[in-house]
Amino acid sequence: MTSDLFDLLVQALGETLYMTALSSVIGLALGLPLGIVLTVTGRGHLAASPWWNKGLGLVINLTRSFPSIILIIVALPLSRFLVGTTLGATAALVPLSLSAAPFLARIIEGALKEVDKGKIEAALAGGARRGQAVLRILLPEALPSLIRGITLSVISILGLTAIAGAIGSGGLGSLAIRFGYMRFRDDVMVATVIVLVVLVQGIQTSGDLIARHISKRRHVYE
Amino acid sequence: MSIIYIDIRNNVEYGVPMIEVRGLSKTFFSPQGPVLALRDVNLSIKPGEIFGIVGFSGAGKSTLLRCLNRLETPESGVIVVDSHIVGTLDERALARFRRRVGMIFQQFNLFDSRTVSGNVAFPLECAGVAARRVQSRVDELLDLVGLSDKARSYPGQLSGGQKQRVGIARALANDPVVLLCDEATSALDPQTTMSTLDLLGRLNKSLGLTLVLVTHELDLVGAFCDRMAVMDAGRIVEVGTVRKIFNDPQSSTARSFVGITRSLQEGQLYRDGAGV
Repeated sequence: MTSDLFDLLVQALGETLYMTALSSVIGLALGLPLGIVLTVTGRGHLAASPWWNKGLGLVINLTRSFPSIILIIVALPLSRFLVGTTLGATAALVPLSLSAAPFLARIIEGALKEVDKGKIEAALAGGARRGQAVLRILLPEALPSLIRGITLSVISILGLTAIAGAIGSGGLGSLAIRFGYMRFRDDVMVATVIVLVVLVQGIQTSGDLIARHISKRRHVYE
Repeated sequence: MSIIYIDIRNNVEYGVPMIEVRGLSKTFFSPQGPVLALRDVNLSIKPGEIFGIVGFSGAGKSTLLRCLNRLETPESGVIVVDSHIVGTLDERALARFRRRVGMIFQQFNLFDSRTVSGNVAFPLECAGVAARRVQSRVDELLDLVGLSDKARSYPGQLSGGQKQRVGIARALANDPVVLLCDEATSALDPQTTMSTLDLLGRLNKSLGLTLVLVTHELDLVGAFCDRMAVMDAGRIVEVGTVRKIFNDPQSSTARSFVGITRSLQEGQLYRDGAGV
């Protein structure tokens, strides 16, 4: 162990948390509306529309079929346009959010589709307009599944930040590549992996706890 | 507009129906091909009546019921409920119309994310009732269905009968004139079915609520309804008073329905083996 290890790790951890948190939030801000649209335009749902559903589904599938590293490189000009640079954690937010959004949209679609259509019908029969049915029934009913899905997504975004590290975003992935791999610093490699494992465990456990707490409060057992 | 309104009001007193259905048709498109769910259905239900719709599975009775509050959109025909022409309403007007028509379901369809109070409050929130009024109205409704002590419970903590009573309270929140019951007691045991019907009967008397029940349990219709319609393959094959259809069924569907119910009561199915 050398003395620079700790400083390197703390800085990289900070960058990773920054990238993961912000691109999760931006990805969610884009992915949640998309997931809702995907759900309600589905067959027999609130705003059934095959054209919208297929069209949006196609765009999302296209975005998702890019391997992450390619998407990150393709999005470089966009980063330069939006952030002014292609290097560093802030520049990486652009491609990270872009890959997170369609992923989250599908995850959210999956969670919302689990909600029994009978509940939506009960909401409509009770005099709800479609917007009210979505905001006051569909989303709250799906909350535990949404939280589980978002947890899964945050962990895969964390994985993406490591890939973004390959093109100079900073963060733990970048640290592992630059020091652990290129400079044969096994101590850095091991330390990075340990930090990542702890992070993933932490995120998963918190997500599970919150989802379980909500289900338990509602006396719903899956 | 106002002239038409007065006309309808006057007519109600001379026996214009609460629900009027003319020439209703609906086709479902399944992968196996089109299914004619409703074919030229005509029906008229009086204010304050308890009306039963019976038929075997797939006869179209639930589809008919769901057309009455436009959970299902028919492809042709006219439906008038409480002097609203259901097919012409835009989304806002439809939501307002649905406050006049409550609905309860076989699977109750309560919201797990809300307490019993929250479930009953939902239609009031949608109608834009002020929060203070919502609370007092919810208390009133829970008292009416005998669940005041469960206000803070979640649906997951209730029995089937209690769930359906929450469903009824929720359906009554905005003082409807019609209550649609879609196999509302089919998931309940006989005793709970009796107490639920008893509650519905009291509501019919005290509030003058028009009840429309869809069911495959003929016994229930016999004991509870004033008039009934028998459906088969998307058509109404017979309409009349319960007494008349039970004593003198005209259609073969009604005859076999009444016949099967009698056989079950007399235990003939067991004695004769499989034969109906």
